Formats: sequence, structure tokens, C-alpha cells
Amino acid sequence: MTTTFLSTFLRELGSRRNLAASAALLFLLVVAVLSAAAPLLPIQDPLAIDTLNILSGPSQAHWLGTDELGRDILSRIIHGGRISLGVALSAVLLAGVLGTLLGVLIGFCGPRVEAVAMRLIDVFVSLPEIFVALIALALLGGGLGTLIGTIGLIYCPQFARVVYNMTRSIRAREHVLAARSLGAGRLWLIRHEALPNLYSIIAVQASVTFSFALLMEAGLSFLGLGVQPPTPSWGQMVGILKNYIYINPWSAVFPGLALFFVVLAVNLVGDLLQDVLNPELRK
Amino acid sequence: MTAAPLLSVRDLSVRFGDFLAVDGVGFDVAPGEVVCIVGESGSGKSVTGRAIMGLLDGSVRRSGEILLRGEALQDASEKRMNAVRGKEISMIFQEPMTALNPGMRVGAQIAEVLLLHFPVTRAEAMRRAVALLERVGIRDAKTRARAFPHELSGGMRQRVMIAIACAADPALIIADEPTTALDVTVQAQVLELLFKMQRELGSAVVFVTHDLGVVAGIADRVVVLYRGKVVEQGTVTEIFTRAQHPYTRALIAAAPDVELPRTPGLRFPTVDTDAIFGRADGAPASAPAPSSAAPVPAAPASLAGTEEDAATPALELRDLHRTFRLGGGLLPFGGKSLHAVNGVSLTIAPGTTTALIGESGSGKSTLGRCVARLDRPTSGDILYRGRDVVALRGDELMAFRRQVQTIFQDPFASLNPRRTVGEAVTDGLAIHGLAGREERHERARALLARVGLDPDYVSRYPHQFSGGQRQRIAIARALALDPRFIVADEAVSALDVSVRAQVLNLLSDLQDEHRLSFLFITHDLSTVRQFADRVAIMRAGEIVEDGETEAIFTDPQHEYTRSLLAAVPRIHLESAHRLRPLPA
Repeated sequence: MTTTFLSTFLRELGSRRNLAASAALLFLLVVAVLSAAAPLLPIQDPLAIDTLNILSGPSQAHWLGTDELGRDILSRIIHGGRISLGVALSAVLLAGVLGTLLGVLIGFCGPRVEAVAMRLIDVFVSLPEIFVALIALALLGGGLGTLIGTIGLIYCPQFARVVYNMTRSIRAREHVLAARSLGAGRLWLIRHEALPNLYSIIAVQASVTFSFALLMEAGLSFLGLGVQPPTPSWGQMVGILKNYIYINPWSAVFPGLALFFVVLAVNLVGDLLQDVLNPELRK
Repeated sequence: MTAAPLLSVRDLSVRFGDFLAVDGVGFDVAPGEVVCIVGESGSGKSVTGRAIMGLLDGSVRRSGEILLRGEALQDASEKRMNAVRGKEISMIFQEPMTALNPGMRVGAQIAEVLLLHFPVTRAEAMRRAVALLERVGIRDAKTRARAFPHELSGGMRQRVMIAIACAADPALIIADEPTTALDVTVQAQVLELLFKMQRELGSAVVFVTHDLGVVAGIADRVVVLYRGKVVEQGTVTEIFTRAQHPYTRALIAAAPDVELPRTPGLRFPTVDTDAIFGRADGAPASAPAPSSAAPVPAAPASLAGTEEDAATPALELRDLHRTFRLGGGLLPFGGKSLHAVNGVSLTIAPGTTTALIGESGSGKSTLGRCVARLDRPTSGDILYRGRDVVALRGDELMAFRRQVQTIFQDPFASLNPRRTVGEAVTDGLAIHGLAGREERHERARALLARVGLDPDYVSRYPHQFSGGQRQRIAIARALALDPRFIVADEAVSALDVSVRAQVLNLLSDLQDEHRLSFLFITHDLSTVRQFADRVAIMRAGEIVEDGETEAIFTDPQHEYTRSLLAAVPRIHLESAHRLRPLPA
């Protein structure tokens, strides 16, 4: 089943039943391209201040209006997406690489290491995420690097746990025993027997983590502990513009909507990934 | 056939998407008659059983007629079908653990059927459920009725299934491989029970199975299926004594016969479906014959002090113990212990095959894993060519790994789904650094040819092969390092008879050519009489009897060996082995 994971996924995408997921994937692709190409797009400078035109509603010149300093909101959403998505993606990569390595290694290190390491990981998983993030950022200060590092490390133990549990079930499979009986060492087992069979579950976990990371970044930036002005991010824009919601409600709504639709789309695609991975769970 | 069949299946077809699982199947079942539907895996026999019950997914397309006493069930409403199921037709499944509700006491599960179909009170239903449990031979039925399925053994669960199936006195029982998951002695008891109940209730039975030995013991009539089509049907006497179709004849010839005395050099008869039916499209073909000319890998590195020496046993086990601690967590004390292997001593001479026979839980697989050093014994010695296996380290361990290979039971689990067949069979060479990429590719082709597969399949993935072909790939992988000793753990048990014969023939050839020694672990007595030189019978971690194969089969000393031998279904129609009288 795992061998055909990608092809099944692509086939499922094409079927009518998964119209929403296909649309979501298309939407994410558009968002990703826009964010990646933001500096090249013929849009206004997201930092250009226009004090004569603050908190305006949608207009010809500013399709989504302007913020409290007269900056173009559309441009800031696109540039902000670059930051928000970039932070979330980097955090997922960090959590994914580190968590996968940890999970696989623990899975191949014998029962004693396993018992101790997994209890430690349980401790980390049980810590309230936002609380840990607040403390870390308050102590270390904001900044993109710290933000990515904090979010990545917070989601790393969950990743490790999922990968570890899967590794345990793979470890008991006969093909792993067969490789051991050929003389394969731990590294060979991890590289050739375990990892290739983990990719699909890693993909699913990454999609789940991605939407959490996106929301975490938004939450932290909303509170002013994440991305620092003038660099825009969606959560930070909502956080600042909420103060002016009685003057111009539009301005805070748009970055919020961007966040909402991207998280929704990620979840839809993630659900489909999940279905392809565990067809028996599908209704 | 008598005038009014109880069940009449006409031109039944079942289609899953593009796959035609059942193709125009038709047969009749008279009241009180036992009809066996026989076929190898993928023949559509189980699907046929389920289609009669209307138990297929909505997405599956079914056509044809299913007439129960003339009533067309294929058009019946779901409400009507619910009245039919359990009351008129009931079903027994292969795996009672998954067929029973794990969260419900077994007595309540039996009572449920009674409450559904009869106007009885709950108390009355429970009373009858306990009576039924007594009837299916469950002792202390009143207490057992309050047990959950997981608290019962496999055989007891199947007895509960039979009680549920018989609860409403059905006219027809459909039994789908009801004894395949059971040990041979339990199988004998469960079959006996099922047909005792059948006799008492006068029900007809449609019995789906792959095992011709079981068929010979129970059937009135037999329907032989191949790839969804009826190949042949007739009375059990017709099928077993004068079958018309070459496939039926080949299938019966290939069925292992526990009563056939050991004949050295005898080949296992195979079923050449390609010749009988023509090549099936899609499935990769098997190469015509394994060619002995295929290059054989380089001679193995010698394990110091283990030169070929006929006097030194290939393997010697001395008072081997393997104890598992259950529960107790991290702490080194507490919990219970399970003596999986309890004081086993065994000697295997070079170039010979020793069959280790035991039922599930006898510790035979644990023993095999200890021998291959995939598990460590708690105490005792394992000597491979005189060397202590447990003490091997470094280069010596690697040399051991080259010489001792394991073939596992399940060819679907023992091949990594993410590695091509070419990679899989040459992993050993890569691990031991014996060949570069180019050379490994050539070796992979030669190895596939060696086990009778097309060398061009090297870049395919395991899922593209059938079970038998996968098992040959697993054998090719074991052969890549030119081993001296092979632990085959139920290596042919999951295979259809036709494929099993091919694999056993292949293993015999390899043994002759390379003087291999085999530890052949199996629960199946019927195949080993021809295949093994010596037999060891294992029960509850101990070897109760071992000796020359013929001696064990003709003059078993231990009572357990005798009961095992007696329980093996015979392929002959002699009345001594029949559970029911032969049809006139």
C-alpha cells in the first residue's frame, strides 16, 4: 500500500469525491506562488507609509484598503504570507527532521533507552504549547530565528512520538528481521527498512503540524512576541489592526480571512493524505 | 439432484471495480446437503459465500440469481434479508476473534440472535444461549457465557460462532474457511462439532475451503472454482475418483498425502495453471524452469574452525531455554514469565532436513529465531558447526550471518514494500560489501532466474507479485549469500498447494546442489513426510518426540504425536476418515 501512496494520492485528488481537497491544494499552490514571488509582483511596497490615507476601506488604489500607517493591506497580506508561511514551513521542517530522527533512533535503541526517552517526550508533549512558547520568546526575545526555533521545538516531540510508534510496528515486521538475518546493522535498518516506510506517515504528520505551526505563529505575533514590526505577518496584522476595528473593521478582517482559508485548505489536504494512508478509516 | 433445491445460485457474478471476482457461478444445494466450494486464493470462493448472504459492500456489483426455496434473494429488501440472515441462512467466518463482538459477552451475543428471530424474553434467550454453549461442548457454560471473546481460546471462540450460527435452527449454514486459522487438533474437534450440529439440525452447509483433505472428510458435493469460474462440480466421489477437468485432477494430485510413505527423490506434483488455462494477463509469468547454469555466488567466508566436516553437526542445541518476562515494566523483577522454549536439545546433521513441528504457541518460531540469532536464548547452547552462536562477535558474527539464512512465513511481510525485488535479493551482498552496484544487478538477475522468475523483474516492487512468487523472491534473497544452513519458519504454510509444491521442489534441488541443511519449522504434518529426513514434535516449549521421519509417521511413540497425526485431514474417501457417510 505504501509503495503506491503517491499515485493513490494523485488518483484520489482527481476523483469527484475529493473536489474540496483538490480545490484546497490548488488554492495552497496559488498562495505559495504569490508568497514566494511577493518581491517580484507588481504590487505596492508593503512598508510604504501614506499618512494622508490611513485606515481606508477598499478602493481602486488599495484593493483591500490601508492600515493605521496608510500601508497597502493587500501587499502586506502577500508579504505577510511570505513570512507566516515561511515561518510555519521552516518550523515544520525543523520539527519533522529532528522529530523523525529522534523517533527512529529511539525506536532502534533497545527497550531501556526507549522507556526513558519516551517518558521524557511525554513530558514535553504534555506541556501547554502556547505557555512554553511565551516563556521562551519572552526570555530570548522575538526575531524570526527564535520564532522558528521555538515553534519547531514545540512540535518536535509530537513528531517524534508518531514516528516512534510507527517505527515500533515496522521494527516487528518480518522484512526487518530478514534484513537483520542478512547481517544488517542499525544504520542500514533505519535507512533502508524503516525510513522509506515512514515517509507517508511523516507527510500526514507534517500537514497536521503545518496548520498548528501557522496558528501558533499567528498567536504569538498577535501578542507581539513573534514577528516584529514593520515586517508584516498575518497574526501580527490582526493583532495591531484589532485596535482600530471600530474605525475600519475591514482592515483586521482580511489578514484573518487569509489565515482562516489557508489553515482550512491545509486541513482538507491533510485529511485526504490521511484517507489515502488509512483507507479503512474512511467512512 | 432432488427436485427442489434449498438454495439455487444461478449465473452469479461479482465485480469489484474492473475486477471480476466471481464470473457466472451456478450451483444447487439440496436440503441437508454439504456442498464444498474449493479453490486457491483469488478463486472467488469467499466472495461467493458472502454474495449469497448479501454481505458485500454497496460499491460491489452483483448479478445473477440467488434462490432460497425459490425466493429470489438478490431482489429482497434489506428488511427481508435481515429476517433471512441468522434465521434461514447463517454464517461462520474464518477468524472468530474478528467475527465476534469484542465488547460483548458471548452469551449475550448468542441471545441476541434468539431475540432477533423469536418472541422470547431476555431471560429465556439467555437460558437458551447457555444451553447452546453446552451443546457446542463448552464446559461450565453458565460461567463461560459471561466471558468476553478475548478470554476464550481460538477453538472455543469458533465453538461460540457455531452456537450463534445454529441458534435459530437455520436451513443453511455458510462456513467460510471456519477452521483455517485453527491448529490441526482443534480443527478436527471443531469440524466434528460442526457436523454433529449439522446432523442434529438437518441444515445444509456450504463449506468454503482451500483444503482438499477437509473436503474429502465432509462433502456430499464439490464445486471447484478457479479465477471466479466453476471449473467442475460433482459428487465428492466423482471429484476425487474420476475428475474430468485437468485442473481438478492436478489439484488433487498436488494435495499433500500424509499416508504416502516417504520416497526419496520424489517430486511434489505441481499444478501448471498456465498450461491448463493459458497465461493470465497482468501477472508476471514464471520462467519455465530454474536453470542450474545460473552463476552461483562466491564461496562464503569461512567461519574459523568450521570447515566442512561431516562428523560435526550442522547445528546442535543443548538444553535451550528462552523465557519471556510478561509485564513488570522497567524493573528487573515482578511480572510473570513465559517459558517459550523449555529445555530443547536437538542435532541436525549437515545436508539434512529436520522438520520442527508444533501448534501455535509451542515455541517453535522462538526456537528458530534463537538459531538464526534473531533472539537470544535465556540459557543453553546453540552450536553452529561446533561454534557457540551466542558468543559470536564482529567478523565471526558477519560470517555466521552469511552462512545461516531465514525464510519467513509471510511473503507479504518479509519483503520491504519500498525496495525493488532486485535490491531485496542483493541486500545481503550490499550489507557484506561483496559486490558493487553493477555486479549486484547482474547477481539479482541470476538469482531470480535461479528461483524460476523472469530476470527482467529486478526493478519491480514486491506488491506486483503473487504470494508464491514473493516467497520465491524471499528464497532468492536467502540464497544470495550462498548459505549453508536455512531456517524456514512456516515458509510454505501460507502458499496455495500448487505453489507450495514448486517451492518445496526448489528447496530440495538447492539442498542437493549445495548440501544445505534445513531447519524446517511448520505446523503442517502433511508436507513434511516427503520433505524431511528427521522430525521433531514440539509442544509447550518442549520436544516430546524426535526421530527418523518414517519412524515417527509409522510408529509414533508419544501420545501427542499420535493425536497430531490422527487429526491431519486425509485426502482419501475411506469411511474411517469421513465425518459423514458418503453420498449414495
